[in-house]
Amino acid sequence: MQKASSMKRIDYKILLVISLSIFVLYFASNFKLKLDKFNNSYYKTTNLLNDIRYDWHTHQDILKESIIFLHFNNDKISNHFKNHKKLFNEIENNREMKQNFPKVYKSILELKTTQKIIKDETYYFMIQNAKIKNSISNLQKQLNHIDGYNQEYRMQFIEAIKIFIDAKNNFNEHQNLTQIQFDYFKNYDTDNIKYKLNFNHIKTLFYSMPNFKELYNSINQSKLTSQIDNIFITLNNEASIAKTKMKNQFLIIILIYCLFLIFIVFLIQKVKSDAKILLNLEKEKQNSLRRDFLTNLLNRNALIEDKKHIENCSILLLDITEFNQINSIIGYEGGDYILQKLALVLKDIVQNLNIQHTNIYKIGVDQFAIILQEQNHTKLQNISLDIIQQIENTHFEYDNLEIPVYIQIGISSSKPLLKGAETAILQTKKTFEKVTFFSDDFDDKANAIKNLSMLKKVKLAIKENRIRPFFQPIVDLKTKQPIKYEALVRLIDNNGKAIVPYFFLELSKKSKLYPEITKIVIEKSIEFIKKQNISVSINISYQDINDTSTVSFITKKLEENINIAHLITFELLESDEIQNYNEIFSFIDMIKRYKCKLAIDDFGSGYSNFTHLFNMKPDILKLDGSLIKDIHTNDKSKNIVEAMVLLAKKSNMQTVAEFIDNDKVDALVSKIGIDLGQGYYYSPPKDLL
Amino acid sequence: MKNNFFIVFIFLLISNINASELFKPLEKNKAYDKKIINLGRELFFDTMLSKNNDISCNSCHNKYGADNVQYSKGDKKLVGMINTPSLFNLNHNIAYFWNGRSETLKEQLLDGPIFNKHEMANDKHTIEERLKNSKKYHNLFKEAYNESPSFEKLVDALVEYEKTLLTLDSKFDRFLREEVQLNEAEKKGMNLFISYGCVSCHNGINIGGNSYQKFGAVINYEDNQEVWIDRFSFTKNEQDKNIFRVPSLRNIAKTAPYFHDGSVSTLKEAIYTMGYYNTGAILNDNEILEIESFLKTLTGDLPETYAKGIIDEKD
Repeated sequence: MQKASSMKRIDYKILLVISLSIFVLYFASNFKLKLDKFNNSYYKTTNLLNDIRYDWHTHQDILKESIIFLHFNNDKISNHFKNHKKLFNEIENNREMKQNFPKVYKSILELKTTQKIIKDETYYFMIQNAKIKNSISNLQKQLNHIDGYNQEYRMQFIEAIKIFIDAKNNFNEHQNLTQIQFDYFKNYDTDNIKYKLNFNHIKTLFYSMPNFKELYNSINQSKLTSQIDNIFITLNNEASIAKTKMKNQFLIIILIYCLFLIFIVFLIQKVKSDAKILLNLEKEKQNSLRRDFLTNLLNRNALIEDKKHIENCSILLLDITEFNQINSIIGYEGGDYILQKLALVLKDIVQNLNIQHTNIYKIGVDQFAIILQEQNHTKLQNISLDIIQQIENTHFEYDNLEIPVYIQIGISSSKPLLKGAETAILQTKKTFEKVTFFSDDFDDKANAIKNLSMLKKVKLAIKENRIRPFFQPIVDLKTKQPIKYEALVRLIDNNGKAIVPYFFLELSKKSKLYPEITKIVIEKSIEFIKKQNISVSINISYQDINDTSTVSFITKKLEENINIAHLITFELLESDEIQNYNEIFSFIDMIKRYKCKLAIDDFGSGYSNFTHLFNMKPDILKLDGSLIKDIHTNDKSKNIVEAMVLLAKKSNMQTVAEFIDNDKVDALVSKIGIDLGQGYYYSPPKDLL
Repeated sequence: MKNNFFIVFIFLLISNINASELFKPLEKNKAYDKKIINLGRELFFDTMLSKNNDISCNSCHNKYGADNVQYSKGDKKLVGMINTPSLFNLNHNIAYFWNGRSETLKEQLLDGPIFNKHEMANDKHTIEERLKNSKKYHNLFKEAYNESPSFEKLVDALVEYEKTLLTLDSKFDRFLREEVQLNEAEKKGMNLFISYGCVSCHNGINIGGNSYQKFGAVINYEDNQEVWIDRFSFTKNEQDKNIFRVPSLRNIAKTAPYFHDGSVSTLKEAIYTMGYYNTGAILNDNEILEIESFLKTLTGDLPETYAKGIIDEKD
């Protein structure tokens, strides 16, 4: 789809290019036509100007001719004027000239003024010319009768004619009769009509000649010549300007066209690169699905995806020890910083491992995973230790604070890799080992899947009434006769086999099933007491006391069975779990009101606190099994037990020894003065209900 | 010796020039649009052009393009102030009117006869109205221009018509074309015409009409006119006083009275007057007769586009 649409876009652009090309081609051919037309107009204008110049020269020639010959056909001049008029009409109607060379056109029309002057002067010239011709021809005519004049007059007369003809024909020189000569004719026999007529002609010539020459020169020296020359210059200027303009226009169009082409190419490129960017974005999107935002390492999704494709590999799961504490010290920003730094360090380490298909992932808030193609345990162990070493050697500093960063590594080489490694990490937390391999040994006990199925089993067992207490007798060490029992919860599996709480109780504590189990044990124990009319010790945990529903259930049961309540002993395990002793004390107050007894379980193990112990005022102390077990071989245990028994006696508390499994222990505890005993030596827990 | 040599030179110069250089025969008009000419002719003879329907163009141009009175009578019998010039052979004139104030026939037509109060005293609007109301003109204009009558086309038709008014095949033209010989008197007259310098002004196709010249070029002509409609009257240039367009001498024998003021009624008198004032010579009777017989050879045939229908008016 993407490709198709981009193809369409390109097609559209190509179409644009083609249409623009056609336009430019059209423009170019149009330009050529325009240029041809312009050139044509230029030549036409040049021709017209040449015509004007020729016309002008012709006019000058005709005037010259009209002077030279004694008689002249004036049609030549008038026809010339007519042609001249036609020529100017032609120019005036030359639209192309007006359009292409407005200055030239204007200047040519301005010539008309000069032409008009020339024309007017020419008319005056013709008048003078006619007078001169007439008078000369009349004087000439007198030459036929020259014999009728005296010698002197004849000489003067011929001289005068000669001067006039000379004057007339010498275009540039001002020649004329002298005043003396003129006066000679003027004063010669003024009464004689013949001389008078001659004088009239001489007078006409004498006065006309300067005027005639002046007109001729004025016409000849008309500014028309220079005007025409100037128009030629103007024409060439205008033509070159116009041509330059046209060429520039053409260049601009071509330039625009080129720019457009470049733009199109750019667009096409952009479409391509856009597609690339889109592809990259797609990749990035996928990447972001596969990458951790904070460290840019591959994430859990990536790991899950990747491990499908890798054979014969192992996973190292790196867990930061007490990362919550780091967060609480330097805040989440600091925590993030540490994670980023750690990610960089890990990347560095992994790069230096030189093992094929090694990849590093961030799979949880404070967990990293390294997948590597290596299954040798020793090598993996070494690598892990090396990693731990390197990280411990790295200074993590935030806000000028040196942050201690420690990691633990869980390793799994068998599938499912991640779950194995997670299990290994859990194990690490229990054992405080820095590196733990996943193995099937703890798979049964701690496997999450097993846990889940166990919870299901517990739930089903509750539903099917397969949770029940077993009862183990507690004997009077003097008589060896059971005087009470301890209720020990069991899960009866589908095969009728009793499963000890180790496998389900701790697990149940994390679910809502635990209170149910407690209630079942209490209910069934009360039932047992009613049947046997014997004292029963029931284990109660801080979690139970902390659970108001459990406490109110116990209260309710005690209230219901108030007459046998004195037979119930609650066994409390003192542990570091206890956060609020007030709840314990109020529980103890409550059971004491019903005459119940209180026993402290596992007394002597790590957490026993004497102050709390005496504040609880227990009736019975159950000494920790670990002390009793080897009491006959371990003097230290014996000393402790003796001290505790002494303490109990002084405080009016009964003492119970657990885990008695042979006669030697039995004999020793009796000797020490312990009141009661419990263990396999006397009886295992039994389903007595 | 020197003088004699000079005289010979001058004679050589004169003999160098023959009549066929100075004068040219009239040539036939090239093809013209008969429909336009037909319309033009109709208009030319139509009195409706004048305000009171009393005169036509022809009224004042009825005799070889001119008329036989000193001043023609215009509308309401108003008399003009200048002798009617001939409108034949107009093509070769340098300009129109005695003083040459119009350079084209169209200008001439619009400047003078139609609107002048001494002539037709009409106006454009009236004429157009009359044309439009006339079925005859409606058809004629339609034929000629394929449009309804208008003043503009009226002018065009008249001008085109005027251009056809040529008096062809005068004896002199045929002489120039070497078709006939001039008789002795005519030949002598021609030579006198040249040698007295008449030819200085009267040359070319129209034997005149191609330049402006002074009336009284050599000897001042004492004017007896109150109003001289000379070239000065419109150029206001001192040099133009007494300057007129040289009239053509074609058909001169038929267009008495003579001169711009119509002051001379016979050709002989006109020859004498011109000879005196403009050539500065006193011609004798014989010379005048010879020149007159030369000038009579300048009379051509009436134009064929004019002749029809004017026989009655011919003198």
